[in-house]
Amino acid sequence: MTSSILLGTHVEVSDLVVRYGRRTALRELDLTLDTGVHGLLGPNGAGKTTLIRVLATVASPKYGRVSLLGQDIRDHRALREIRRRLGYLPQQFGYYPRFTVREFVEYFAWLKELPPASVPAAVDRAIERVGLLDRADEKLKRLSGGMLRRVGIAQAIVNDPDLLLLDEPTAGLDPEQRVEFRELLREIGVDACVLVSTHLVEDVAAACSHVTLLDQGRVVFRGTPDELAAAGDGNSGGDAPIERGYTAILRAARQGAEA
Amino acid sequence: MSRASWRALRTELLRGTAPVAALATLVLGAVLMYSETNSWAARWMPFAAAVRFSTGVLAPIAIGLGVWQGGRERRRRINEQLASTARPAWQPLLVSFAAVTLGCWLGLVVVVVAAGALVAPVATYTGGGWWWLLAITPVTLAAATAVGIALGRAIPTWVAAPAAMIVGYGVQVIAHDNSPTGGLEWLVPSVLIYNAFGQTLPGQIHLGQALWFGGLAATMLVLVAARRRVTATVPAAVALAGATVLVASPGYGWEPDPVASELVCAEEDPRVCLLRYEGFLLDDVTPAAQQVLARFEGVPGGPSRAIGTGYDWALLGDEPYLLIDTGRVTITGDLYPGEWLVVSWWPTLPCEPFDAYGEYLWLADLAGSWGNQQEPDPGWGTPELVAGYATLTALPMAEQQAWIGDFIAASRSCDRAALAELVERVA
Repeated sequence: MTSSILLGTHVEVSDLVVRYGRRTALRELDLTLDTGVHGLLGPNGAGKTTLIRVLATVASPKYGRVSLLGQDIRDHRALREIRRRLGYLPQQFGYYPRFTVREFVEYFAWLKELPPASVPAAVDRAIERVGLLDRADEKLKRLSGGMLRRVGIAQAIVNDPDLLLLDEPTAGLDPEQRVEFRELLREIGVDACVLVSTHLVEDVAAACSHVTLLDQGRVVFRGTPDELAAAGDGNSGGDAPIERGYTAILRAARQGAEA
Repeated sequence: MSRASWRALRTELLRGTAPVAALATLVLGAVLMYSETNSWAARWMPFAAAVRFSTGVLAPIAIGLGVWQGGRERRRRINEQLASTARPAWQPLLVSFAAVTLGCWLGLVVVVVAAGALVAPVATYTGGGWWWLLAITPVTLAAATAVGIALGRAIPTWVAAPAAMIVGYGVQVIAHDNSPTGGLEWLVPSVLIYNAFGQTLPGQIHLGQALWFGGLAATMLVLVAARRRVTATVPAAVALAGATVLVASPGYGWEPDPVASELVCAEEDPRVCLLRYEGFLLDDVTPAAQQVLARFEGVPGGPSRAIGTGYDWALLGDEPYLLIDTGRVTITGDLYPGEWLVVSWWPTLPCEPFDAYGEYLWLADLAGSWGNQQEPDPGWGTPELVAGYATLTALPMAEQQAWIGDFIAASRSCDRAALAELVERVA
């Protein structure tokens, strides 16, 4: 929450290994994130969702150390405090269709243990920030896919999180909503650490201050969107400079792995 | 509980399974109670037993709704979002459980209050500890909901809820039909009504059920929500203690309630008496019973009292009596119109075995038909009985009464010569 601004690193991951059975989703991954909006890019199966799930404290690492907001997630007592300051929108946003927008966001405010007195204002503010105030008393089952996604964002930000994890948040949003959403991300990123996993590199270019590119469970690039764009060359596929940079880095990483 | 927690509960009550639970319990509870009206009308213990009888259906419904609620998180793919939140898992689980349980309770309370409002002004016996039987009902529904939620968490499929309802109902039927000692039937929510007339339950049954169902509910919830499942051993031990008390209960648990079965009588003569718990029918029964008793006025050895069924006849010794079978009772505690009040008389047949009457046994049928003013049906009565009834009832009333008096005397002494003479008089 903004009332307890963290001085220091928000996310610190070292030697992180996550396995699902025999498949290794993340391999000895190191990552450090501070305040700002961070884009998480990578092809399908690169490990983006797995990384987000570990940071959301819903998936357990096999090896390695994960420190969020200055506390180790293996510490059960600290975990509750971390979760109070966490916002999470999973790739598959689940919801109760008979709840209204306000009730759903309020329910998550309760789950996130917001002080009871601050709940009504926090709920209104979250709903307003995603532009659904006029639909606040509408049942979720009556909302479009894009609106539901915005409800998902509202529940994630209702506690003004210090660490906001968004997995494919712009899926289903129309161009105008995406522009507004990027604006919201920039606003939140002033005080908090926002990690956005996405396929849409233009979202990263427009909204993120930093980019992390994953491939086959490893970090293959870290830098700014401009640095990513600069990595592209004439032979890389893609229409925009950042797409060319994305393609070039992935190609180089795979060639390096094969060599 | 904080204001925010109340808000969460309110939302669950409005938007979760609770409204369905309330509606289902209300409708099914009302239907079940209405279908058994004549069993419980105007009598508190049968009323409480009927409410418990209805849990034979309501508890499986609570299980099914619990399963539905318990499986909701995975069905709606929201469990990952929930897992990332700070609040300990037992709190949303408790809110979820409380909402469904309150929904069930709400529906049941409406049914119980409405039915109880019909019983209260009429009932003539308020003792017997019937309220304990009633008080366990919400505990049984809470346990059923908790079992359902645990099942729903373990098996979050669409078919789990209907399957659990069917199994829940089946388990109760088996417990009632196949319990070798009767103890097992107390481990299920439903209670059979027919045991409740003039009987009561010892405190150990109520205590055992409170411990069993309460412990069962707590065990299920702890198993679902606790980080260390070993903590479930505490409520499980409570449940086990309750189950032990119930299974070890002697016989079928029910005991005669001597106060409920005392006779209460109309003040005027000839006396008409009913059991205390059916005393509300006395005003309805008395005129008809006295009319029948009047036929026996002056009959030597004839009945001078009419007594309701269910009385311990051994307490009457050799006293001749009319038997009152009130039959069905309306929902407001009146006799069913146009049907069924039977004030019957069956002459005492002291000669054992019945064979001693030999060819004169039909005289007992004739006397009974006269006493009950019921002409023998030519379809089943022997020709001599049908003809005898016509002859007897054609005589002046004084002669009819004399014949009945003589029959009673001959019957008591097993005097075959006198019986033969009685045949001649109606030949």
